[in-house]
Amino acid sequence: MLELLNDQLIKSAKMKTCIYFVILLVVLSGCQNNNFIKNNSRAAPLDDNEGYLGMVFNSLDPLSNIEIVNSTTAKSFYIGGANKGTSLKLLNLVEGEYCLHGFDVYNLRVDFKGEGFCTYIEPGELNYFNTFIVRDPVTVAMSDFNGFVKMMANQHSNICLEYIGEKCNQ
Amino acid sequence: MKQKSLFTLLFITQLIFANDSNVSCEKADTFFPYKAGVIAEKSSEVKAFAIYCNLALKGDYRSQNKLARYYFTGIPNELEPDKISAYVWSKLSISVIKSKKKEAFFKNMKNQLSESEILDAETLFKLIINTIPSGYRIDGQYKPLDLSDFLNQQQNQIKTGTRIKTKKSIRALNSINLP
Repeated sequence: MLELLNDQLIKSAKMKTCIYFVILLVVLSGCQNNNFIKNNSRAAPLDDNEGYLGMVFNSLDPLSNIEIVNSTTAKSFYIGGANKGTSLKLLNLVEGEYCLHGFDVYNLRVDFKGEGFCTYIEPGELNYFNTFIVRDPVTVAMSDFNGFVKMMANQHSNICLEYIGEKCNQ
Repeated sequence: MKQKSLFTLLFITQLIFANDSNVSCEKADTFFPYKAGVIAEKSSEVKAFAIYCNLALKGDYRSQNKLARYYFTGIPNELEPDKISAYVWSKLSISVIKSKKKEAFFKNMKNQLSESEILDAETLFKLIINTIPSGYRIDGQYKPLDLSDFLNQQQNQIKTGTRIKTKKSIRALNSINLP
């Protein structure tokens, strides 16, 4: 009798653990940014009001918690970090104006004055924002479209061919 | 001198592009970003045209493409369709930043032009490409940065051993935008 009770207690404890684990997974998947496109992944087709936002970071230090803000809805998107050197970030976003608001460098939070760097995302397009040269004490935004296309061709060849075209094969 | 010649060319292009329509590309004193054009499109296409036109002359490739679409279709009672102007602005918009969608629009438009119209448009394009830039995204106005403030901040740094203490921590950094 005692053994049976003990078995039931163990079973219920196991069930509880499983339920907590499932809840944890659900919470964690909610925290994941669905707008971020992983390298060479087959991205879902864009909706009519969506466009891609591509940007390059050139930094001497690793960056984390890069924050993009939709200036109309004030919704923040944390798109992860960027390693030391040059990194490409690609997101799919709803049409509108978005601003690069800030990021963390080591344990220092950098927030740009005002809204930061802003651009308008055109729907149905691969919008190249800029190449951000992150240096202490300023960040400079420069347009290097050829460099961006090379990185796109390496890391997101399908999207590159679909939205930029032949230049991705050069 | 350089500025004078630029304004002369702008005047010529305005003459070419205005084309007996009520809408013309007038140089505005107030700055409007690309977003303002998108918002204006919903209420007044004439206002949107003026905003896009000013940005297109400064090199915003998205505005150049919008202008091409306006010239291609026209604005009822305001702007007559002008396929040559549409061709020129469209080709300019894809001269630096490549886009399959914009290129498809250009090809579609080109197919609707006669050979002599294409020749005229190409002549005009050669004139325009040397005077009007392309490939920029103009979404804001950036003030020139005075780096002397940062130099002063750095001079105020106090070094103590391996740690560097600043009197004022740099939390909000300035940003500059280069074309």
